[in-house]
Amino acid sequence: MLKKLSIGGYVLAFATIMTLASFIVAIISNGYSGYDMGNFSTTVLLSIAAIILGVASIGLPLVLGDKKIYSVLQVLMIIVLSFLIWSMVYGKMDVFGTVLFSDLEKGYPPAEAANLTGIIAIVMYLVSALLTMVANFFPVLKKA
Amino acid sequence: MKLHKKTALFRGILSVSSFLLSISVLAGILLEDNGTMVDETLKTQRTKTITTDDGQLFTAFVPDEIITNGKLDPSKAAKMSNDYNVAVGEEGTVLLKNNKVLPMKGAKKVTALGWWSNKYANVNNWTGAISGENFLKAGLRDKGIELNPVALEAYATKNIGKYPSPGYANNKCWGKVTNEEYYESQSLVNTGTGASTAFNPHEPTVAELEAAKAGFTASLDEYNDVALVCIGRGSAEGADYKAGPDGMHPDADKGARTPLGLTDNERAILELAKEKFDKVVVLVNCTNTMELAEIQNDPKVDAVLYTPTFNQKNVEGLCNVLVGDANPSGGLNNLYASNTLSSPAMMNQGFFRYSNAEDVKIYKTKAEKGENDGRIDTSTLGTNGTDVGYTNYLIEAEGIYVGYRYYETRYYDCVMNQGKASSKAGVYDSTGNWNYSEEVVYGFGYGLSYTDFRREITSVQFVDEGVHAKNHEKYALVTVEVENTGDVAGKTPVQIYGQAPYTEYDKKNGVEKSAIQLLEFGKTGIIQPGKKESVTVKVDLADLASYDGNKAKTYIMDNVGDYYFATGNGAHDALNNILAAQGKTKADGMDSEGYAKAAYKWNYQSPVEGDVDAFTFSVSKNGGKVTNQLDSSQWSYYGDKNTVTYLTRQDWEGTYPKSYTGLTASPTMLKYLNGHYIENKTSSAAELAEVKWDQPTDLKFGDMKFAEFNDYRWEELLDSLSLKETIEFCYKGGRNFAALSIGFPAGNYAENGASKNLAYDTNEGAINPPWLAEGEKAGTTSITLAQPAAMACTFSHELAKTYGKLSGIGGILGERIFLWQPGANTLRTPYNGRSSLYYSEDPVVTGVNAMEACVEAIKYGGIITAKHFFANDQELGRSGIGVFMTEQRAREIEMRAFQIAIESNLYDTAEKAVGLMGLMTGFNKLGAIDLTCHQAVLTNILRGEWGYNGYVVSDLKDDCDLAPQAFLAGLTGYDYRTASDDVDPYLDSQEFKVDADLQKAMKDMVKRELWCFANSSLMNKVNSSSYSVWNLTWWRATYISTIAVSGVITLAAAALYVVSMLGKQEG
Repeated sequence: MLKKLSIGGYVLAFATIMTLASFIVAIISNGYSGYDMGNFSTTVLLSIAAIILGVASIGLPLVLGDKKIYSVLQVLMIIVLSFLIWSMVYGKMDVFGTVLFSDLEKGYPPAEAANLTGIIAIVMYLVSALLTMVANFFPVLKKA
Repeated sequence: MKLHKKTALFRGILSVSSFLLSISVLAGILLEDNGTMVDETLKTQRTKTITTDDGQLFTAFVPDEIITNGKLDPSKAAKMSNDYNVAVGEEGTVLLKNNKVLPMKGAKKVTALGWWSNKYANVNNWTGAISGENFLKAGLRDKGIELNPVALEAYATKNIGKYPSPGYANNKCWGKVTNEEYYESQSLVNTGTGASTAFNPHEPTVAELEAAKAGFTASLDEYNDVALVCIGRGSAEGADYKAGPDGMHPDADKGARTPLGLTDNERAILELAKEKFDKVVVLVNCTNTMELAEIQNDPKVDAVLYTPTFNQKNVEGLCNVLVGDANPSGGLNNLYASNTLSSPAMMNQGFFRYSNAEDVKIYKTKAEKGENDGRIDTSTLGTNGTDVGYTNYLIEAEGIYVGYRYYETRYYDCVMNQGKASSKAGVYDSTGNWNYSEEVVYGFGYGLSYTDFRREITSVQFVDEGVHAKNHEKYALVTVEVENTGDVAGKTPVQIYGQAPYTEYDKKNGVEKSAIQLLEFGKTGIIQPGKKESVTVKVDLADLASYDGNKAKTYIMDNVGDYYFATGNGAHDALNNILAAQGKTKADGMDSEGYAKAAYKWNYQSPVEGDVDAFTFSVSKNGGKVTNQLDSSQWSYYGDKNTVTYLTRQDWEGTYPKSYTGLTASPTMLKYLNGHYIENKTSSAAELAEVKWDQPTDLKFGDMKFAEFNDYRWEELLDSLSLKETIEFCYKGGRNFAALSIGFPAGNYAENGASKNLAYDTNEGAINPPWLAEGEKAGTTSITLAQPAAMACTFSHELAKTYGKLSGIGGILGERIFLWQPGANTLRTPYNGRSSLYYSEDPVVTGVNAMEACVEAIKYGGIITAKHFFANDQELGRSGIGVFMTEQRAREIEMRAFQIAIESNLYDTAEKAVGLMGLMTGFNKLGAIDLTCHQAVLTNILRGEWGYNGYVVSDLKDDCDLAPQAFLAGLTGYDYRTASDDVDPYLDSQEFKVDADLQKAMKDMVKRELWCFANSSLMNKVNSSSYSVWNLTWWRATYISTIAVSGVITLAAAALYVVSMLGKQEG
């Protein structure tokens, strides 16, 4: 079935996997005691939504056939990802402030780890968004 | 197919543009919400000030001393800074012992031993990286002395990687219940800075040194003129040492009974030095006082020098002392006990948690709290509710007997054979009963010179100045004749101590008296051998009065008994001189004979009848009534009256403090601990209508240039602000917030740090001063300030003034108006992590230094902001810890330094009141009340008694969940220093809209902030023609244009995408 996927479909699949990986890193980043994000529930919801949209964007055409309405999911996915990146940045502002922009908690291992993993998660989400944008220039399935 | 391709193209374009649109909109929100941080990082300003008539600008505070040909000359500023630091090094070095080996004349090849020899290097505490050259090596080379390079390299090698983060490791213990559980929860971090719960001094063995650098031992034979054995302990914010043997890391060298005692490896290095060298000099590099008895008593250790946390140029001063180019003239800022556990304060130092701590409700977020009782943890230290302090308490059962006040008073009572002073209670190093000579190594204020001095009080004159409050200001002018009886020139501190009689009234009413207390100090010039110099020191007699919180409920002077003034080489010498004047000798148990002529007996002439004079100092210099304000600082206020017994000299044995573990917070106390201090009310419509907002006026902030606090125009200016502007101004403390309606310009106006390098640095949009050097828009001219502990040891008003001057000039260079420095807390124990950032265990040394700094800094437009007001007596659990004490303790020990700086009696005149204009509160509570919300402290005492008109900022966003209460109490703003400065969640709090008293309090807050700004160097760039406007910074332009462009493209792409899909479907 996967052979039906076009290059765009593969890129989109990769973007979805990358979103899942980013989500895992975000969970790890949120796990450092004392540095959990106040808005993490938003991040979780948006991540799940982005993953579902990615899977649906690929899965629905594969299973049900290529219909125009499915491509809207890809546009929604990119919007969700942009909100997701914002949510991560916003949730990490405190630790960025105390580690990156002052020396208040610089050097304190949990703060440094929460900071570093937060940055990694944001970069990974950004890569997911870029991949999705690239994918959106192509159809998901090869032409029949 | 063609249509399908177009659909994909439009969908791709739509994806890119909608992503950019979303991101740019969100980035805009994020950037604006965190504008403070963005401006700081990107050197931008979100508002800019426009001045139509610039003829009046830059006419005040212009620092001529750093200008050459009308332009800034960075080298001049650097030279001023360097000269000052070298002087602090010379005058702050304290010679503790000298068997004629110092100065080390003729020495050419010297070896520095000990791990701490490398701490005289520019070591980054975070990374362990060593940059630049070892300061000691460079300083001695300038004197023609070569420091053993092999030994230096060996120690440098052993240092690499040994500086893990101090961080805030010992603040993280949320949810832990017992002392043991707390400490067990800590990661065992080895830090070279002492910032750990388990300390490892890292002193390597000789074998390790030999392994690190071959030829280490052999090199000692070549560089053997003198051994400089360096020992020390570091200090760091947020991290106290853990007292006792458990404070040592399991992997650390053995043999130390506390982290402040010597380890076997340190002893081994000392033994090596004694074996290999004829001359052994020990350099003590620390501010947490170490246990030095074995070094002092070792006849083979020839000399000991104390160098409290010196910077590079301080070390140059030290080198001048070592070779004799300068004669040491410092005195100890803290007493050195033989056993650092022997202070009675140590019985209650560390981790003490309420037994019902679970009833102290702390929530991580506003949503989590909801309508429940309790607090929101707003501490930034441990971002989300990890700080222990809220559920901790500290019982300061030692009363006023802090530092030398304890040891000297007990010594005095031993000699006088009273109060069971010679009992077993509090014995640590005495072989039998308590014995001063075995419990104390070096007394407070003590310091030797290469020459000898004879000090004698030649006259005491009493003056009633009555500058502000007639009949309530009394001073003594104490003149001391100092004779250089040695054979080299030198200078020396002139410390004036006082003793108040301990009377039956005191015993009956629980008033405690220290047998000796510092009242003021001066310093001689360089006195040639055989010559004399007279120094007159002005003493505020209010500092000799005692606070009677039980009967008179104000300060009292005794009509019974005699007062004494005394001078000497430190407090112990001065006390012996008083004892001599009282007819006591070594036969009475004194450890040395005193010199009666260095003491002066004074029979107080009271204006009132009775045992005590409760009139004279019952009115402050500001004319305010002085009476009990701090009943709530005592544990008994909240319930059981007999829980805590305070140490009294009536019975040293029976009242020596016990450790107060597992105390239970009463229901009354819990109400406070859960954040209910002041009730916000709902005012009537008529009351609210009295408070005016948005009133039209032509008055602008620039019109208030140098306006006095009572200027009638303030009211008009404040009424022109909107309520929303006022609330936001209050939250941000006037920092980085533009009140556009009154033309108040935004800027990053505060600099944090007790000893900060102030960088010359102007932001985009700033009005550049005419003296700005060409192309110097973002240059750096570093002004380095010495640590307060080093400053304290100089006992120099002049150097304290220079500290203020350099702070002010640094403020001009960096456009920093509020200088959040220095630390003015009184050190309670040797274990405090802030030991280098606070001056001393004595409030007078601290207060005088802070006073000189603030009075001098404002001449250059800088507003010194002393911190942390007050009772930040330990770092462990500092965020919210409840510190309990008597009112006498609070006033005489904890608050006095701040009071001295605020009142600035040395400089106050009838025409103009001067003094401290800025305060930062502590994270802690006094009793069960957060200091940010303590109305009795912030309003009744600060404003009512001391006449304080300045601003009071919180430390970080401490207690901003309690803003309506804090604003009513007298706080004037929060420190939104880092992270998100979004105050929107607070702006719509209902209290602000319905409480007229709160609204009036907020107007008063803004006035105080603006008054400070109006008298600062900020006014160099503002005048009556100035107004502020929104500024299109480059990052604003970027996100706005991105929104615009991506928005248009998104719309177009969306339309084309839909049309293409429809077209395809139709096709």
